Amino acid sequence: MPLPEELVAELTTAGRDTLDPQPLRALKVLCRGDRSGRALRATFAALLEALGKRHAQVRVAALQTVHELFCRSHEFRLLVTGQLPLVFRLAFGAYHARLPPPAQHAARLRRLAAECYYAWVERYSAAYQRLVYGFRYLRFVEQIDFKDAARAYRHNDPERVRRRRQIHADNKRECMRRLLVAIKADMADMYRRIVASLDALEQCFEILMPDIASMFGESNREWPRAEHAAADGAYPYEDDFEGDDDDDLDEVFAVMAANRHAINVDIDPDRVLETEETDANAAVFDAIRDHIKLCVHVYRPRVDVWLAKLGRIDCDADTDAERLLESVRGLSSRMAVAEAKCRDLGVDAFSMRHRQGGPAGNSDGGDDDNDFEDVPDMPERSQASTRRLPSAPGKRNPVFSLLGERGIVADPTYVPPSVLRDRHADRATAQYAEERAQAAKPNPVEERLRESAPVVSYGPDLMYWGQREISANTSGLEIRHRFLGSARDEPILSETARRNLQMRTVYYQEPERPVIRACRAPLRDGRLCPRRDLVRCPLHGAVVPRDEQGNPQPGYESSEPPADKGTPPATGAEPRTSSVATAEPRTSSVATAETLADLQCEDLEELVDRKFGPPARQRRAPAKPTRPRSSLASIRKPRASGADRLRQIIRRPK
Amino acid sequence: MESAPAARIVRGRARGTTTAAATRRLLAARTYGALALAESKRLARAHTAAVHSLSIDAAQGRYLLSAGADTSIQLYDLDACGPAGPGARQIEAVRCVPPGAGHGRFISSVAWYPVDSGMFSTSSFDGTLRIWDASTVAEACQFDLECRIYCQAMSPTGAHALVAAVSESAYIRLGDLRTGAFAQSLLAHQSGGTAVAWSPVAPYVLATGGTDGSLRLWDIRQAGSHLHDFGGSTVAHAGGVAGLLFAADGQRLVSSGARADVRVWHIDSPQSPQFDLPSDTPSEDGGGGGRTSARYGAAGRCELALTTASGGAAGADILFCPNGDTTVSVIDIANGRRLAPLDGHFATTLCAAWRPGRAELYTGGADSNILVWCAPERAAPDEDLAELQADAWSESEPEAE
Repeated sequence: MPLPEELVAELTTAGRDTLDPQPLRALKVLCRGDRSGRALRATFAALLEALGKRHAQVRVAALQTVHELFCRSHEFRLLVTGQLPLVFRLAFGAYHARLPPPAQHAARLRRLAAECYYAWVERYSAAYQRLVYGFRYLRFVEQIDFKDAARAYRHNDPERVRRRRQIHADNKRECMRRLLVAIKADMADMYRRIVASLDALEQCFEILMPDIASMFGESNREWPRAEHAAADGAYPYEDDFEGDDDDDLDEVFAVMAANRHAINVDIDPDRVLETEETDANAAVFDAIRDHIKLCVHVYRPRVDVWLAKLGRIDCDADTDAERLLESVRGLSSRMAVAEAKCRDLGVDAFSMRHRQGGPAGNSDGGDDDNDFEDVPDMPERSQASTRRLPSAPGKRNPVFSLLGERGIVADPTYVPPSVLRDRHADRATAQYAEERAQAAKPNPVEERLRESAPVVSYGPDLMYWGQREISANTSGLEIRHRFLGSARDEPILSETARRNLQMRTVYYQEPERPVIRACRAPLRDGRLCPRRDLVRCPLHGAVVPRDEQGNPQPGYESSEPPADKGTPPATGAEPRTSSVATAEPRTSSVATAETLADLQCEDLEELVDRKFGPPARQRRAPAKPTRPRSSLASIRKPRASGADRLRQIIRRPK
Repeated sequence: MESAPAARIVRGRARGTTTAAATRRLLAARTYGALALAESKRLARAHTAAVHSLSIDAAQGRYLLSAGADTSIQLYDLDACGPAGPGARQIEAVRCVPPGAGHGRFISSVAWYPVDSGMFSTSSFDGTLRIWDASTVAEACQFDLECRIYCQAMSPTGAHALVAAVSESAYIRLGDLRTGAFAQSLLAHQSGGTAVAWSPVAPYVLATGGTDGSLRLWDIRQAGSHLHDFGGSTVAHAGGVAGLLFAADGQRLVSSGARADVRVWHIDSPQSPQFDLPSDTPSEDGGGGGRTSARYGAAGRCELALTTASGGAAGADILFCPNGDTTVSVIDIANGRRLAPLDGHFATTLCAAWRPGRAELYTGGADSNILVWCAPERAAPDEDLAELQADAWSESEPEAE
């Protein structure tokens, strides 16, 4: 098992924004499992040590770990409250202590510390007084702003969230209770009426069409037509079972049970009911009509509302609601059955409406399923006006939504688009035919013109070339276009718009600029010459293409020797300075100086460069073989070498 | 510090295996060494800056006065019940002199009139010493010394109505409340005095400590010279005297220095202290002394507190001395031992007050808090607290085997 110190070191030196869950878990397991508290104390000591590191990222991670354990262990809370001033110093930078670099992580540390501490105070101050005193100290003496922390805490405090949920649940329960009471009050009277109505309906159905089960009994004598339902002559017992007595039926069943026979009853759905309204049963039908009307128009919506409301109530919480829901469901299903039966009888909501208008008990009960009255045919339109519309009937034109309408063609203001199109097409074909005719015979003038004509790419100007008028707006409606104007009388573009369309658009193309390439001759310090000359570099001769190393490409060998081959630049570092040096040769001031003040900066630098080589920043650091595991930001400053310090001194203004 | 069960201590005494002194020491260590922050009550934050002085009335032990750098004076009724809620009961200030309404600058000390709780006196850096009517918290009388006053005190014997004030001037001024005028001036410390204390038994005996570190005993009837110079040829406290207190018997004098070193003197043997307790926390200042290097801020003084015997003579021998860091030392002055320090403040501790009868200690500090200390409460915490204090490991963190 790893030591707490190792785990803390692993956690705090990872350098990530959030803690690594695996060692954190291991640490928690370790601290929880240790009854003596030794592991906890060791963890706390290690965390304090990590908090004291001169690296803000390490401190952030340590503080996060402290927060994790603080929220879990009483012992750890006691340890932390005992060392609060130290924690303040290290995490908030209190007591004039400064937080370590990097700066952005230090700011994060301060923010995180405020959030953590605010959460501790909010949650635990009742049990740990010192947190309150510490909060007062931070808030009023150190003037630390806890507003953001308070906001963050309010946002995601588990206790508060839990309480909020609790309140929400309480409210919901109270709401449900009230709803239930309201539904009960609503149902008290209505329920009875619905049941009475349904019972009456069922009795009527009893009269008109008996149950399948009772069909085999005494009722088939009264309603012989119902026997059609069980018409299947394949059974030898059919005669018996038409034979009038319950005892016979029992016998049949007994025989069937003994011989393991089965009865198949096929019911023809079309012929299951042939009850027709006659004068004899008109009263029954009227009663059914009245009740089913009530059911459909009054009771059904109410029952649906009850069902919806009861469905929202949590049945687990209230058995009463469950019972109610059951009864309402029963009611609903009974109602559905009754409605279905009514439909079978040919009594439904529509027919009832018709019935209400006409005198009751009239003799046209036979055609009550004819729902729609006949509409006289619309007068035939002339064949010319009913040309087929371009869009398929039924498909709506999204732009001109009236286009699919049937009546639109009768509108005198309407011009069918096809007519419009034809009008223009005629004109166009005439023009085209004329052109064809002209093109057929060669025109010498045109031939000549054609030779000198420029070749241009196809564009809108060519599309409308030579057209006197350009048709627009084939929709037939007046349209105002914001640029092309309105085509009120004739659906053609205005003169100016036409001219604009026929004008050639030419875009300005930027002329290509020549790229002046660098000389790229190798310099002494390993770089390539950065000079950009048109033809020849004053130092390295003609500019020729060179490869990566700066060697001339084969075939481009510089025939002309470099100008300064015999006298290479003194230091070679900067071509510009060396060119100056060659342009104006002068003796080094180091040799001639009599006092220190006579020394020239450049000469001293030259000496330093000669001794130590070029400045270190130009040297490429060798790549490290392995990437470090930690992603902590490096706070180490590059150490200045002796040569750098010397250069700094030389450059310092005297 | 050791903290043996009380029963074992008493048993040891009954068997005669421990001496009386050892028993007392053990019991004191048990009682006072285990003081902790009171979990059931706390004082509301009323001061906005450092609290430099605390005083609990001697008559009832019920009212706490506090004053400090924010120039306000707060009066707490320590028995007033705050609203019961989760956690600690908060004691609000019942009366207050708002900042700037009384003294114009830093209040260096506040003290109840030792005989009753009808009035109290304050001294300030604005150069005035004021007497206040406690019931209306209105100013009754004012003495103008025209220099910074560091400390003032009235005699606990009640034999006279003189208030002694030490200031940055060389004189101790004695003001008479009956006449409202100064009665006497004693040329005491050349560089000014920081602490003054009256003897609780002899009405005319006064002890003063100076910023030069000298500690002197006076009889105010002999204006020409002092009785003793404690410490003999050397100064009593290098770096200046910070706190001064007579023990209840009037025979011993407790003084603390600017470096939190504590000495206990017997007034009959002023040459050398009975006990000399150097500071247990090393001082940062290099020993230059003077007021600027003191640990106790601008006032350069601290207030000590002694436990008082409720019944018998024993018990008045535990000293609470603000250490100048965040701690308060607990010292048994009967044998000169330090018990565990009390660490609760977040900045320099400046003053302490013992509440007799209730065994409660109040301390004030530069973090503007007044903390309440008492023996750890043995009563089981209520359910809310127990729930708060319970460990909350989640189930996904199983116990290690």
